[in-house]
Amino acid sequence: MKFDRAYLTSIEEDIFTEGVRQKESLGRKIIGIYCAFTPPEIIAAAGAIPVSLCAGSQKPVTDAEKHLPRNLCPLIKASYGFALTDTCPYFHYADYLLADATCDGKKKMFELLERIKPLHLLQLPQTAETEESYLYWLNELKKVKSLLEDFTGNTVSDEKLKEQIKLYNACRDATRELFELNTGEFPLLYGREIDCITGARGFDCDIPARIKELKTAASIVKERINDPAFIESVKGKPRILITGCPTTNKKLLDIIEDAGGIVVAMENCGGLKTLGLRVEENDGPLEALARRYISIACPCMTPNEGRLKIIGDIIRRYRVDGVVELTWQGCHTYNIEAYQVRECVTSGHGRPYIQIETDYSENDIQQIRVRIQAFLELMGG
Amino acid sequence: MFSIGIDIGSVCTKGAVYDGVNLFTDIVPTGWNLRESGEIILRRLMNICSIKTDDPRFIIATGYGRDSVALADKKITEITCHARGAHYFNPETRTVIDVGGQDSKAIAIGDKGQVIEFIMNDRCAAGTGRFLQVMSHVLGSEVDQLEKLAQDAEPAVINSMCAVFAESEVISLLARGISKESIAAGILESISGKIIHLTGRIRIEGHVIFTGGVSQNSAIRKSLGSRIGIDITTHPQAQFAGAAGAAIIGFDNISKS
Repeated sequence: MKFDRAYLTSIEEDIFTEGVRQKESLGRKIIGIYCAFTPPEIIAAAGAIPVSLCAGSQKPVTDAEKHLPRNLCPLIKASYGFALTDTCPYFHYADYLLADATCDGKKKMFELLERIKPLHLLQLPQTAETEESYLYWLNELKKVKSLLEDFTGNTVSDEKLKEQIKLYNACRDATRELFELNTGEFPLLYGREIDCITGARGFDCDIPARIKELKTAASIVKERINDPAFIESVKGKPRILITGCPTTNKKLLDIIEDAGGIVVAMENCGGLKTLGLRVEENDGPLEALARRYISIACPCMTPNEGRLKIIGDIIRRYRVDGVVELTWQGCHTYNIEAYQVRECVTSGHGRPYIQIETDYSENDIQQIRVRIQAFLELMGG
Repeated sequence: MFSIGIDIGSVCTKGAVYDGVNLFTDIVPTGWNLRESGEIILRRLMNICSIKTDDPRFIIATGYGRDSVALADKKITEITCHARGAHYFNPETRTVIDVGGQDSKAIAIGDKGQVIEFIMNDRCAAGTGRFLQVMSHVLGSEVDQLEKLAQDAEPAVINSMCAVFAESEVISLLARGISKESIAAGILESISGKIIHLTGRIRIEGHVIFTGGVSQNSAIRKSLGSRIGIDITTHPQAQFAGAAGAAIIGFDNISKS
């Protein structure tokens, strides 16, 4: 069984068809979200379908640059460009957008995005450290809850919320368990495969089916430990952790694995940054969601020491040989934090570190390839 | 068995043969056809060292054209090779500053010539040999005459790091009647400033060696040294660090197997 782009595309096609069907025949609303801070649990509890709209393609960037500065991060430009040109089917079907005031680039872009589709901005506090922040965030989630109730006409009861919390926890657990197949002496999964198995973007309209799919994939991958040819093929490959900006665009992942490395773990929004965070199932549901979501170790928060702890844990548990930090051009928060991450990785954990600053275009692939190859060479790969 | 290193750079193709004791080197300009440049240097090296076609040999290719060397047994990046070559030139070396035709890099190395960390310039000609080439052209001069031209002149300030912008800046300096000598000195200062910007991001300690084609310019080397506050040395064969490193790594490979 190959977990490649074709596998991902087939999953995404099914999810897409099902999402559109549920919208058109059952009247379920589709809610677009942009960051990991927006809890899909509330959207699902309101009977609507959440869909992640953050984009990884270079295609709409030029159009986005008609309105946005060129030196802005490509993720923001691509997300906006798709909306502007109406070329993303998921955006097209979205009825309403929920966005978070995370980094400067995103929150200002959302002001323009609002002209294209109705949008509500969740005001994110700048720190997760204080009780005031939590209370503030809880209040933001309360607003979202009543807004969704008005928009869908459905009541969001505590029971419904708890049900969705359990479901999404189970989905995160299943995703994390898949990552953990890479904690052993031999890694069992390439980063590209993790990306294809877990990265299905689309309408979250059937979480139990997603969980089943993740578990099926995990059980197939688990068997590789008994396959001497597979073990031989991964033996001795430098084990890489990718940290930093989301790997929305796959060029770095491809370069690392084409050059003979194996990306055993990813510490980013959809990866191990958030997968370890479960929502407490026995507390008041909205309170539990607020606690969980505000603690995401995103560099738009200050301080953000939690991220260094996560990175340290991954280095130990996943037996990481080297850390590659991905910084999308114009992402000041991750770019500045790279200083602390470098320190943490090299001085704190004695592992080599390299930062790659790039965008979605292909013009620097050759230069990045040299850096990555040299980085793998210094680990003996 | 002969160990041969071929380093195809953007301007010159360098070759080295190492037998465990002696290092033979040669250099040719890199043409548009990288594969051919690799073949030419290989033929010349084989002539110099009287290697016959059917003699056993081990070839490592490096440099940006390394994928064009069809006969290579192995390909290794110029970063790893430069580190090893610089270590061969002087085992005390702990930092390599390499400035070639289209990129510049700083490498921190360990006591065996292994790479510890490195930094490379981004997709642009600033702080590279190409910058020197463009600027000397504007002055109606040649790269290797720039240093002589700049001698004892008060450097004019050139603010643009970008080769294209700096070209316009130099033209407007000329129009303002600033002497060619001052501008030449300014160009050399400017390039060393850009290199320092790069090296600022890695640890610099111990013996620092300056390699790559631009290392032949002693004015840039001195300027770098005074900016870092450490004496920077070079080596008569500094331009061959990549090829030499490749040949030495190849020799180690042969000896091990």
